[in-house]
Amino acid sequence: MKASYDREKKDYEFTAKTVIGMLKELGLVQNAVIVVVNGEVVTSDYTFKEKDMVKILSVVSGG
Amino acid sequence: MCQTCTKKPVIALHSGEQLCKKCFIAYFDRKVRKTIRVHDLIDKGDTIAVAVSGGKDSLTLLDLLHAIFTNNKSVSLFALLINEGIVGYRDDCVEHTKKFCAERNIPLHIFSYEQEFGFALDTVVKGRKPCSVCGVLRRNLLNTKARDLGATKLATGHNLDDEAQSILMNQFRSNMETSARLGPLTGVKDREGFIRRIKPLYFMTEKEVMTYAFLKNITDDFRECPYNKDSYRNQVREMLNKFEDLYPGTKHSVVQSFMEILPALKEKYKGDVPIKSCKECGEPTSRDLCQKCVVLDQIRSS
Repeated sequence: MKASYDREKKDYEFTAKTVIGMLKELGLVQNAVIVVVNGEVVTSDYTFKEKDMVKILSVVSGG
Repeated sequence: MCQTCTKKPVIALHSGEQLCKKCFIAYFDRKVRKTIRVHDLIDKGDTIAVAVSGGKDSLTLLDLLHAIFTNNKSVSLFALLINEGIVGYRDDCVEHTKKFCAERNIPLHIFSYEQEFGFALDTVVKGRKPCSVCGVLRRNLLNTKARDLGATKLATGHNLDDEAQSILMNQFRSNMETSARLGPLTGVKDREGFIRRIKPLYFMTEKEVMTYAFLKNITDDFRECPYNKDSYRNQVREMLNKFEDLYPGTKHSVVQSFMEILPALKEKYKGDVPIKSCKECGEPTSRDLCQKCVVLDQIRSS
């Protein structure tokens, strides 16, 4: 599957089945991001479905 | 599932409790109101200047304060934005903030380094630490402009992560006197020339603020100050986030334990330093020259 990550402005490919697995696979920290699937925020135990649109949003913004 | 109503959860709090969109927004709103009430952040008759950057924290704060006080005639507020002059970053934030305030009919005042100091931040950072220069100048402008516009308090969007980072940074640098000036309400009442600062998002994590901002459509595109990534603060932030993943509740513990010692720190460092007028600009300072003039002198002499 693919996920876009706004902070890096790029797409990542991953094989994990859950949000927490994806974040581990991509080396991302749970507390530094929120994950949006098909426009809705999900928790780390969410299991991906086929054709899910996955976005990773950094919580670190502004400055 | 949401532990309150059994709907689909959007967030797991550090306690492990999961909440759905509706229950999370209610929880967030309730907790911010409690912070304002318990820590006496806002009094009747206050005029609040809300420091906005266009990011999720400050716009969430502005949105909440506007909702809380929109029908309360005894408290008024306006937004205050400082444009430092950071190409590719601040211009977008300014436009987003203008639109945000116009939609809610919130007065917005914008000031820039260019207009106030004669230069954009981008043009003076070479060989310097951008955050150190910017922090001093920004704090100065926020204080003086808020005061001159008639504000009695200056509200900032600092969240629990920001505070936990500041506490650790001061500890790592053995700078407890600076820590004594942290907390949800800072500054001394009736100190001439200084506006007291309030942090209503003090007990909300950065992730909670981002989730709230997303669910309420407060943010648009992701923006990050280009100088942020290399900062000392960012390294402490990354370290704390990793720790929080391993040991949930770490950030809350850092801030809660700090709150226990804060009264003792304030007592120790209350000092009775006489406030003088800066020899160059006349602003209140404990030294001959205020920090802003020291920074400006360094920039102009190089």
